[in-house]
Amino acid sequence: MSNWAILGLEPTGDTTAIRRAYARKLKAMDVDADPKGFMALRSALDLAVRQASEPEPQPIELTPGPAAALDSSPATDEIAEFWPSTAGELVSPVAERRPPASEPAVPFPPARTPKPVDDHEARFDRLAALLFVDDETAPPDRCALQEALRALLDHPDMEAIDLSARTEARLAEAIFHAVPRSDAILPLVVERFGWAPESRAIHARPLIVHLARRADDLAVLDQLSEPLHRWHAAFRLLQRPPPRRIGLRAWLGDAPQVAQLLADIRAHNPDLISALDTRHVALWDARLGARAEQVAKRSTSISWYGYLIGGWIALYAAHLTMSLSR
Amino acid sequence: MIVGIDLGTTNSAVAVWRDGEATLIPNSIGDVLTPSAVGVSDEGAVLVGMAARERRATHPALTATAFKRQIGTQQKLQIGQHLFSPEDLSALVLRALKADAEEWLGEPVDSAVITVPAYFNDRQRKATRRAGEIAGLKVERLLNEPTAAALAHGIHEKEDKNPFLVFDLGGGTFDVSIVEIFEGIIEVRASAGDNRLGGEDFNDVLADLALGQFPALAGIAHDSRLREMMRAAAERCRRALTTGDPAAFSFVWEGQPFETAVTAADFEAAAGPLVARLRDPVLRSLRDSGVVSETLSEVVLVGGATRMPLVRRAVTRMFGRFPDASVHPDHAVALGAAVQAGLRARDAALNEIRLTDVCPFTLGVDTTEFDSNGRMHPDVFAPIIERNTVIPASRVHAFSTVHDNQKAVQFGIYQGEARNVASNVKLGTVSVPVPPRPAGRIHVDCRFSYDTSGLLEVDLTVPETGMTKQLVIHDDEDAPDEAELAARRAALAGLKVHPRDDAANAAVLARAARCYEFFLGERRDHIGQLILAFEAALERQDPRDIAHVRREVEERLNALEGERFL
Repeated sequence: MSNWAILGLEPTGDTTAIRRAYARKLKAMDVDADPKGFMALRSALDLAVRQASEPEPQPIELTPGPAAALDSSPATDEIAEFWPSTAGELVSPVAERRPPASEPAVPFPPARTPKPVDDHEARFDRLAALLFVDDETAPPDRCALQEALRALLDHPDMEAIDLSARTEARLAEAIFHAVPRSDAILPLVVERFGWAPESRAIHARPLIVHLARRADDLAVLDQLSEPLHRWHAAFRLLQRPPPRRIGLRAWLGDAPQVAQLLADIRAHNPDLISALDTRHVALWDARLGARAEQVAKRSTSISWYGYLIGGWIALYAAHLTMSLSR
Repeated sequence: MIVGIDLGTTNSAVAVWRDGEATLIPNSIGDVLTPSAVGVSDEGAVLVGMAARERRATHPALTATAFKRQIGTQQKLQIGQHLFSPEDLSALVLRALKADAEEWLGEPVDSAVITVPAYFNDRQRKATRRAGEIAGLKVERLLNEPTAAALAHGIHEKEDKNPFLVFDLGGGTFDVSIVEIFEGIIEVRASAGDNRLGGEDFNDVLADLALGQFPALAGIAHDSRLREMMRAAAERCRRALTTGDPAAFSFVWEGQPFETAVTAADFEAAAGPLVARLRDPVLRSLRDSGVVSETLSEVVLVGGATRMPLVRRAVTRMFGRFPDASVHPDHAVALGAAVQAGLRARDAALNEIRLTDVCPFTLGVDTTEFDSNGRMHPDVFAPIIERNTVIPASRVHAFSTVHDNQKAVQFGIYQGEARNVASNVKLGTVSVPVPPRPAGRIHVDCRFSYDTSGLLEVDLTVPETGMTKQLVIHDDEDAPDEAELAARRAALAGLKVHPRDDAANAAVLARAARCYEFFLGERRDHIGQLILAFEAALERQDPRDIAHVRREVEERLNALEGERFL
């Protein structure tokens, strides 16, 4: 039975008529006695509403309406795919910038509601001006950035749930486009909007997951840069270009640390690999891999010895029993 | 007869659908709210309601309150000689409400619609249903509290209505629902919540705030009797803060009076983290339903804790407008439950009304994923029923084997929103044997069916062998069977219960005893005399005399400590 037949309706694009038909059918049934019937009716409604809006897709509004502003995921899907090439910027912020595909103007759709949002807009623009500067090689002014962010987020206006949600989505985009300049404020924003817990959720927005991961990467990077960190030496070593070969001294001294560092990074912060010297990592991988193979080989040869000895014992025992029974 | 019951953390209520409207049923002492408190009297009889709550401060070891917060756990509560599970305690409250309803209606009550917080998980729902069965009620339906409130609010709406938001902050739980009305269909679009946030948490914050003012008590801050004393004082102080600022926080401990003043500003600052936790469920329900707060037709406040000015202010700031106060925050849920009871009984007056609800959390199973390097990631949550799906709902997903020659496929069943199943609530396990084949060759269909009461059923099918396996989630704690339920019902029935017609006397006596502990000097002596006079009247056993003295005692106590509240 088609969904239109279930609804008792001719195919139509009129959502109100569809919902009215659904209401009529729902009133005629006892949901508790006939759950299957209800489920069929409900999916017929959902499908009909979808079909009704399909033939004439809504023209895309340039200034997103409130609903669009709340849900930033469709736009960010594309951006997230765009991402991997920029991971290298974690360490050398000013080296190769991504081509400026995005004009600073793009992430900021003009505000719609007047007062008190105007002041809010002004505060947002102040932050944006610090994030998107003409001279991209100039070092970011961390203090000014953080101050502008606090002015924006700590204002009582932000208690309004809509404004807060809209600002969150716009901030996420702005931060994404202003990497690495935005690294100064990223941890604060992640903390404020609870992006770290969200990134662990099943329905997390892709852009939020990405930014929360970047914040975590940055934090780990900071820790590894501490001279007292147990993997600091290995981290520094792998950032340097590789030697011709890994000498015996280096092998004996550094192997356990390097192995642990690489395993940990790969398990928890895979993007951080790009903070290290690729060829140096490859050299160590080859050596560590070879060792792992050797260990595996050794254990197989041990088992061969085991079979040999076992065989001898068995033969000897057989020999003994034979001689005893005789 | 079907009644609607709001089984709350602090107070419970029972209502009935009669003559085309929902009516609250008063209890034996004439109140429509019955405190969700169970105690044991000095003679060993079980007390339920007001009398038990009054004894909480004076006899913490003989009283249990707020046990709804532990329902669905294995925790047992010791009350005097008895060891109760939270289910048993809830059952005792339900039984008292059932008796009140039967007395008032003059006919037996055999079934009920019981409300639960929308964000109650499967275990908590099952435990609530069992509590109903132990109390001798057939549980027709478990109804989500904000949905019940929306029903009570929406039943009078003749017109279609833009989505509105129900903000339900009760004694122990917090729920938010977005509800829409069209053509008489009351449709919940999305629900979100926090099942560990409520008025009791605000009391704790207030008690901690006051405790900071009394360095003398710092060493014994965890004493359970002191804790109860302070909680009772906090409740009073919190209520006083709704009308005045600052409010006195006073209590007596071991003959010493302790008194301090708490300002609304201090309380608001201390409660900041709790208020911040209100935002997330609001945001999530709006996001899930695709509704923008500007387009909400109204914000309906439900639950006693929404009376707090600081909560109202937070709501006003969140939505940029004043919330709607047209429904009674304490009565709406029970009234809505009665409407649902009327719907269940197919009452003619409700012919043009239908209700649809959603499942507020994601339900799914654990799976193993492989990343691009071929590495295995176990314990990844695979959703089957997405949150805010309209219920009843049934969804099926196919999964395949991971290892060569796997002998069986086992599913852990989870509820929650985290990608890693370890952070979600585990509801049970189910497994099905499969024939040995290379990895990925065997498919298993896993079907989840979620009914209107929010209870889950899982079916596994292996198309290759035609083998099926059905499971009504067996909790990790083994769900009791019918015989065990009957045994527990009998055990509760065997308890000596304080006579129902004496409830009013017991409540007043308990209150007087608490006041005796709360006051010092002349006033204490005065209360002592009141107690003696009342006990003498009870001895004489003349009902008119008793009622007269009781009223007198109540008036004196009201004069001393202010009106009694629920």
